[in-house]
Amino acid sequence: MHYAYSGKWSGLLPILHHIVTKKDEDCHIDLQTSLFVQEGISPIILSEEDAHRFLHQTFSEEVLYKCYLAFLSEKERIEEGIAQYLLLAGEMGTGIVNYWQHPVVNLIEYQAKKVAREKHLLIGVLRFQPLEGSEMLYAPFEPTYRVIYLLGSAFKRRLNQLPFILHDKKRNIACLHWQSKLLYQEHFFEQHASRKTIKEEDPYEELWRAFFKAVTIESRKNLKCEQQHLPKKYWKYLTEKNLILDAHKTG
Amino acid sequence: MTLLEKLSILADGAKYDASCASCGSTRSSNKGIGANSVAGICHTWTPDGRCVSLLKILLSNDCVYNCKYCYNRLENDHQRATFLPEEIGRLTLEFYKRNYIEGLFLSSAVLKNPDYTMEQLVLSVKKLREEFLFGGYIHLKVIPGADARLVSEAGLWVDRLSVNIEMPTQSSLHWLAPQKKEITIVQSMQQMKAEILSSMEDRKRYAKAPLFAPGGQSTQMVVGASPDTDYDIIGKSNYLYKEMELRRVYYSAFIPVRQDGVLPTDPLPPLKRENRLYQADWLIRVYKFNWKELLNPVQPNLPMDVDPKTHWALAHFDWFPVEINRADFSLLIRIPGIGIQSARKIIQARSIKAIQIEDLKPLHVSTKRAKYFITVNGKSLLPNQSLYPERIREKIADTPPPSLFETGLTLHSAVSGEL
Repeated sequence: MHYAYSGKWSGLLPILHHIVTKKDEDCHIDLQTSLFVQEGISPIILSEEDAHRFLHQTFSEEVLYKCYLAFLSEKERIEEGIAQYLLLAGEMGTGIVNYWQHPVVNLIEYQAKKVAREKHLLIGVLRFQPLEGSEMLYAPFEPTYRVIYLLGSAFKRRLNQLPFILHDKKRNIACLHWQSKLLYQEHFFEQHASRKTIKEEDPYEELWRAFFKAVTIESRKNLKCEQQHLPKKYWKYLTEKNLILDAHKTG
Repeated sequence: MTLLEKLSILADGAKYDASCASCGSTRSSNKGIGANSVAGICHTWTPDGRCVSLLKILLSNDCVYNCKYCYNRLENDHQRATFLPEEIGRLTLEFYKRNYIEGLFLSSAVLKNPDYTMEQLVLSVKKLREEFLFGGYIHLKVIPGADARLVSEAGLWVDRLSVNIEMPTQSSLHWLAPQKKEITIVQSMQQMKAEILSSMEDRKRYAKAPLFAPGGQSTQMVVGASPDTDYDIIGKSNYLYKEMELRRVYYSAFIPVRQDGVLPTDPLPPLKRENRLYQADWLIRVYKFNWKELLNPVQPNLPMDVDPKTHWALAHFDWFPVEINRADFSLLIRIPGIGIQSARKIIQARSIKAIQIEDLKPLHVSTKRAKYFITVNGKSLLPNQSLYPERIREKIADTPPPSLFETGLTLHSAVSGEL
């Protein structure tokens, strides 16, 4: 059958619920492009809450979390992969996570792993800048995957009471932490946390660069190794960006 | 002197300490900011390819000792600086808030005397916890010869403690660092071991019993500044893991401070050797090799052309090929090129269905080295012939890397500019 959804994980759940209960092996899942019911699209009337409950009763946390991670990869047609994976999990049970040889399992595992890896890297390389006249910390970034949904709670644990904004500038999604609450907001644009309000001269940025310079062992330059760990696409928002660029320019 | 200048000097002095772990501790706090994570987090990589996870600094580089290998020794003429505990606290907290670091690594040269230095170190970390309410990771160096009571107090505030053993043999230590006494280093290690264990015992009975260095203790050895062999070094590491229950031993390749004949020039390339020592260290610590399987008095150094696991496998060629659908975990991880992760995946996958050659790629099991040592469902990955160990060795051997030290011999030591 043919399905369409909003593009949100919560919107995908009723479709997955339907596919699993009907054992619909031949499914196509697209993004909904119109407000009206499109021709050939099967309307799903199951609720998100029911779907959530059903899926958590039917599958292990591990299986569902892998699906969620893979979903955040935004890989083309990953929704159908997730549906196939769950159908297979319905037959095999929890053993599915061991079935590395199967192409669908492999797809989900591989995408989930890529997302988890980017999340882990970003917990380290995200940079906060204090906003003028408040305690608010602001971190812009441009991740390859939709990992912002995984980062909010990680930074809440680290920064405890401090308010912060994570800003995925590629997708215009923000994660706001305010008074111990996490809130995700789509269609979040620059003007909401404009660069103008970022402290112009933060002395700690200069101190950090001095530290970075001091701990570099010049005689042991190994730029390839550095770039392997820290790919170029993550340099843009680093406080130490220019130092890294200079090192790579001089070779 | 500005804070910026101080930081530059005191970070420069600490940069040769190799330890970078920032995880595996269990301290939790809900008052201030900062948390420990299960997996180690790197915040950046310097152009030398090393990861930065901690604000690694010296409290002071103003040393009264004159160890031959050390950049900060008394006779070396360079600028001296000392942080105030307040400055260390402020820097750590503000850096953490901006997500530059996981926490603090604090060491020091010997300022006045060991007790005074240790007091200042303890004061700094106590302040960071109590006044700055910092809950992240702290690694503190213990000054050899400092009063046992100061070490006891230090353990209450930090996640990891370490005292650097520097040399694998007493004679080397005596020769290179005459003011450091092995006995005081060992005493500190034993004390920390005892307090870590008793704190763990107490925690089993009372959930609120005080933590003592929950991230355990580690140490560091300088490689290539003394005539000690890998047999001496790994033997010492094995002793430290078994008897002192250390979490990690770090190895730091030595680059001579000056060419005046006092220190030998190591005939082995220092970085390569350091790398081989780490590989051997992982084999005994994680892969459960007995250290004597890797080294013996007749061949007291690790080979440079292949990694120690491959070297072992080639010397025990009658163990191979191993059928990956049958071998147990402990044997799988002895196959060159197959690590802990791959071995786990192999065991998971074969529990569902026998693994075929074409499954290795989707499993992401690298066969570059393993292909000489395995069969997959009875089939060999090699086209038609069986190879002799000597031939395999040639095929696997690293091409000799270009010398890293041909140009620009640095004028400072590659060794911890501290204790």
